[in-house]
Amino acid sequence: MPLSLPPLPWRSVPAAMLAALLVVAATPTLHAQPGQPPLDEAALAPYGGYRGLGMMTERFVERVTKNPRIGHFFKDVEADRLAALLTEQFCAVLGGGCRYTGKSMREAHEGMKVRQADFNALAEDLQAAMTEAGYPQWAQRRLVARLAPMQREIVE
Amino acid sequence: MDNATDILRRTLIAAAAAFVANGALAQGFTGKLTATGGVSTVEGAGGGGLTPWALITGYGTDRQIGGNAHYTAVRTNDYALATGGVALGLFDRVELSAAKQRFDTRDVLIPISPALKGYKLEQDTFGLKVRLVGDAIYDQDRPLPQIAFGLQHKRNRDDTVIPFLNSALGGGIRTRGTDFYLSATKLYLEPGILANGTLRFTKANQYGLLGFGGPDGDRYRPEFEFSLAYLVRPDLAVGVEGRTKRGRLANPALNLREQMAYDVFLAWFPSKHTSLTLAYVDLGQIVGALTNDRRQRGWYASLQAGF
Ligand code: HEM
Repeated sequence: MPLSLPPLPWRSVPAAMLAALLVVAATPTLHAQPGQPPLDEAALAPYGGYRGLGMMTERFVERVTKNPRIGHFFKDVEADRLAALLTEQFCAVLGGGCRYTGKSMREAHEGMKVRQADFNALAEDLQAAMTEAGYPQWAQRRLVARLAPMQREIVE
Repeated sequence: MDNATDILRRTLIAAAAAFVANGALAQGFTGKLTATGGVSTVEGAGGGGLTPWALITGYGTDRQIGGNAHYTAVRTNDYALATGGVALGLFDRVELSAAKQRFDTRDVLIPISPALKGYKLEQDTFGLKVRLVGDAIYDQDRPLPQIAFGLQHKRNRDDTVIPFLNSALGGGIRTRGTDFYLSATKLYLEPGILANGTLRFTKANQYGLLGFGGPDGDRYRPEFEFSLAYLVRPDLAVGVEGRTKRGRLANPALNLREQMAYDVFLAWFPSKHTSLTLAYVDLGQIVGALTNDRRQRGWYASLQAGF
């Protein structure tokens, strides 16, 4: 399935493709953070690379904190730190080569009394953020499928 | 047609009741993934169109109640079927359902008696389903499917065709019967595929529309059913279903042989509260001697509304 790109006037397509090629060729492998293993660019390509994944995750965290159903869980949470940890974690489960450095899911959510419906609300925010980012359906399903089993550690 | 309209009217009232209940629950509600509520079978249980799935109907979670009402119309070469029903999913664990079927024989029985033109067989089905193990949605990392046990108690209200068959075949056909089944449903979220297998123990002839058991006995027999669906988009599924049917009635003059039923469906979920399913069905022969021994093929349309 093709990646969704912003619509381009057809004349500029070859130029844009050339430019993209040059950028790809010139970009050295990005590292998530110092001390992180090298990234698997191919695994992250459908998500706009590590940077794209990070931007999507920031928008996702924004949605979650504004969500009337679950926003209250996050009122004392530092959004930037959470988004950074989530990006790392998403990158890791997608086989992007990152190492997740945060707490285990059980530790992170212990005692919060997260319910099934809260979990689903968060999953819907994630899907909305991915749709907004223009991720193809299969790429969205891949990330959701890899996070779904965490429900057992998160929901009480 | 009046009968069908009546079922439709009642279904709409039930749907309206569901929406009102939904308003009351709206505060506590955020459901499962769209489409994972499934649609309604012709026997009222949540699943595909022909076969029940292990999923509990509606979008309720482990602390919520979900429910829906549906109306289904099937039209084949020689027959028409209208089904209306309601189903309730309790805490993603138990499903209760009730459905009413009206099977219109149209012109099929005219050779037996002109008075039977448009004769309709009616059947009520009460269903119970309990999720035993597994979670089709969250267990993406485990091979175990979601497994449910179910039963369907059917009461055929016919007082004409079954007595006629009993006198023609030598008795033994009952008007009530209970099916038991085990369904296993696996959702492969990443490729977007849902697979279901159902093992049903039944005495029914043609879903019970021609009663249960017959002159050759009253024993349960196993039947196998499957569904395979592909989630094209989060709100659109296409798939196939099949269901073996080996009713025990045998009569060379009437040709009561049953055949496997199939369908190819397209289910659209414009929202979590509604779904529209269109299918092409092949129900196999139904009283072949009066219908040129042809397989009953035709269209299936089903509308579901719920919360
Ligand atoms: C698949 C679903 C989820 C994933 C992958 C996830 C992941 C994470 C991660 C990586 C962290 C940071 C852990 C750390 O601080 O080291 C975190 C923290 C947190 N999560 Fe989740 N989470 C999920 C579901 C939820 C849900 C449903 C809620 C509540 C509605 C929730 C509420 C929180 C809160 C409030 C924190 C901050 C905890 C703190 O800073 O002490 N999470 N989550």
